[in-house]
Amino acid sequence: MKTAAWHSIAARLARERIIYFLVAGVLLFAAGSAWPRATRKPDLSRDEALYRQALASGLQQDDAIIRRRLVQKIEFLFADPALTGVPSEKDLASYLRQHRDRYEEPGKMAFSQVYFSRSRRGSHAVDDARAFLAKLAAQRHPPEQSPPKGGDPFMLGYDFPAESREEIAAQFGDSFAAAINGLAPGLWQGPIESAFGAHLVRVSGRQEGRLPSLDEVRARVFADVMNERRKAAAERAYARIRSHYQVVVQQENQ
Amino acid sequence: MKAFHVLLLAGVVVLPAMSQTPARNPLRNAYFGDLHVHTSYSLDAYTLGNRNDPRAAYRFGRGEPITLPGNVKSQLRVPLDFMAVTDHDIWLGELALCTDPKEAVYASDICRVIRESDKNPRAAMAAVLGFGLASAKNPAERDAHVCGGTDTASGNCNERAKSVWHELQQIAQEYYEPGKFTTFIGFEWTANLDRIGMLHRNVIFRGTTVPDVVASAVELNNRPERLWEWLEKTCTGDCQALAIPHNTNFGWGVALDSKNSDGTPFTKEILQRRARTEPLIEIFQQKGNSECAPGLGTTDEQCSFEQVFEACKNGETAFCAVASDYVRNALKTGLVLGDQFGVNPFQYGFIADTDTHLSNPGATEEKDQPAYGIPINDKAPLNKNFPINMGAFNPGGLAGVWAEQNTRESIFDSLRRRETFATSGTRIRVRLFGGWNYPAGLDKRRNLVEAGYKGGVPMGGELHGPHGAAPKLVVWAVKDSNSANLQKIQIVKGWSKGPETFEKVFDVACSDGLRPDPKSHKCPDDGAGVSLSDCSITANKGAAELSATWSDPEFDKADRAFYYARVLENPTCRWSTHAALEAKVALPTKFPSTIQERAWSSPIWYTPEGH
Repeated sequence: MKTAAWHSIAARLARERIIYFLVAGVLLFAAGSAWPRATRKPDLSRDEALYRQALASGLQQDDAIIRRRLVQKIEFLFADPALTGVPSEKDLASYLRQHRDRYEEPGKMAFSQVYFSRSRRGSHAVDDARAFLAKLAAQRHPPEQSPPKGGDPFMLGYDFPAESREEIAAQFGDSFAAAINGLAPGLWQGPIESAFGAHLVRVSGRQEGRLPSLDEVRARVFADVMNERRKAAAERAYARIRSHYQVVVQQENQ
Repeated sequence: MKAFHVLLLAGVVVLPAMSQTPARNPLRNAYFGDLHVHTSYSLDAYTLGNRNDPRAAYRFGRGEPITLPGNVKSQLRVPLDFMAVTDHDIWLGELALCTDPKEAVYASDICRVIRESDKNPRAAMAAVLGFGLASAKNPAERDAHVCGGTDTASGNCNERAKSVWHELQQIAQEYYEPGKFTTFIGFEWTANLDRIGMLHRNVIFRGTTVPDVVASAVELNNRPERLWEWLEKTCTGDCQALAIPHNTNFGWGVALDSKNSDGTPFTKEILQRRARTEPLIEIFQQKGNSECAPGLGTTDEQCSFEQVFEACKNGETAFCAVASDYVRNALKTGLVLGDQFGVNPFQYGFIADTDTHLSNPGATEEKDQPAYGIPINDKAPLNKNFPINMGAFNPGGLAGVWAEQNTRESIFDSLRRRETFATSGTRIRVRLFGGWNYPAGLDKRRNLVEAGYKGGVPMGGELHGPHGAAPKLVVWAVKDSNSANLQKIQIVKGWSKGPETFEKVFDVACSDGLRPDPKSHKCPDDGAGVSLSDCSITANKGAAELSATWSDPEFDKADRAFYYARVLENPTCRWSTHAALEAKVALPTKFPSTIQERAWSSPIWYTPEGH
């Protein structure tokens, strides 16, 4: 642990005016009693006097709340940026590469569909879809345009801008997800059958599974790196403090 | 555009910026969630052996596997779109103290029993029920030993609960991915009645501005009226909150009664506050169905679905069903109260949730592990203070919302305007619109959603007189592609004439080309069945989707009324049947072998002119 870092902690202690005497007693921050005696307004003197008397009487000892609060405070101090440092661009980029499995996105596809309801058309759903596809072809309908009105209303929507295979399976069923996966992008194709009926499908784009760029996931990576550093810094600080103590385990008399 | 065309044909298309938040859909998408989730931070969940914390619950909800008690690995087939961890407010501090070796109380007997719950669940359950009974006293009590002395009664526990509450807020924030996975900050306000009756509410916040401390049910002495008041005083400015009552079937006649929880008469001010704070109710969850109960104000045969209790017999006041505890009856009463007070305190939209205590939100498939992980042949109740065979519980339901996009703001606003639906666990999607001038057969038109919004109101909305003719309702339901086909859509109507209330169920769309009988308004049987030897279902029965444009043949423009849709699937095996088949034991006789999974839309209300 660098001396500079400990100075920074001491400075922060003074800034936050935490219960300095206690911390000093317990944790060997013996250096200096340079607590600035600020002139207090009269209405604060009552609290201060009672507080000091309580300390002098040892009321803080064995008090679970005070104990917990102090432990929280010192753990908070361990998270000081002077101890953890602020990760550089390089640090973030290398963390992203080293933990790619955590950030990788599944492959996704974009598609539109025209639906022919089995509930409305029964066994004609597939034939009706075929006939509509033939009509599109005969009209030389440009694939990038929405097709002329046809098919039935579909509650899940017409355009699916970015769906993973799992998301497609969750909505349309497994066999539809498998079938659409093999389609080449560009033209209206099908019909493909789903749990609901027959669909004409036009795949408009496909994106392989990929590791997002740092820009896209910067906030998440930053939070993850800081989390790890805080944990590590706290462990280092604890180890250092722990080395000043000897633990004696007393056997209980049963 | 031409260049794009060429690219398409060449097949080298890369999607632009797919990781961006998807655009708002003005016609709204269906999202599924679970707003009632307990983790190891809830004392009762912990004592059931659950050691998965809130982070594990969020990871599970977004689709990652977790390990459940008994070393069972579990993962959702389809991730949730949104969720909230809602741990019990009243024991956050107690549990944290009891599991912290640095605390003096850690070594106490009561804390030891709680910590060793994985080895001796019965002793731990008895301890928790003791806490529950103490919290239900008037005034409410905490465990003086754990919380440190009688004078400072809640002192240590509240101090500790505050830091757990801050941690819960931070965790919800960590897992929020706008556009993909929405988390809400929330808690369960756990007001208990004597004999483990429940006036529980889940409190859900719209954003990150929330009260600094939770005024738990113990602090507010189990009075929901004080919760609403506290929320209005404390949750102001950027803070917005809803309280969602749930499993009112455990309400022992108090939950939805026509007086305040302390027995005093309603006042307009309290009812207004209630209506503002509680637009929704959880109609279904693992501890049973609260829609309606057989023989209690209804002859609807579908009310026998997933009942935990039988109607109270003479002298019984707890662990039995009381008419006023059921949502449909409250909706009817609300019409009369609306006339009386000028405000309807029971104008509830519907959601369902799991109420899981295993940190596994959304795990509602009947094939999954039984609710609570209790073996189904364990006939004896766990404790004499909780005389329930948990085989009567179920895996729970899901909350559905129609929202523009998957963000906190968009989903919360759907909850607020009641554009919500409930399911018994499958992902049935249902839309309902009501309006005066819809064309006949609108449900068959391609533009039905645009026209539905433009010419009327969606589920959760209100229609007002004067109009002589009945409004048209347009209802449309689509099956869960991973579950059974749909059997029918019903419209449930409730209405009032003066102080009297009525209800009637109309089948409005039937599967398999069948039509509702014009007199009985019932669909003929579609002949779908289930094999109890392997749970296979009759092939080629039922519909992938159903719809109808319907108007009430008995509409009277002078009566207040509500209409909601109920969508039924064909029958499938109940979880207890799956579990018995897997264990190769006889089918339990106390519970039905099959169920009909279902969805309930929020109602649309009609109010006559001058009311």
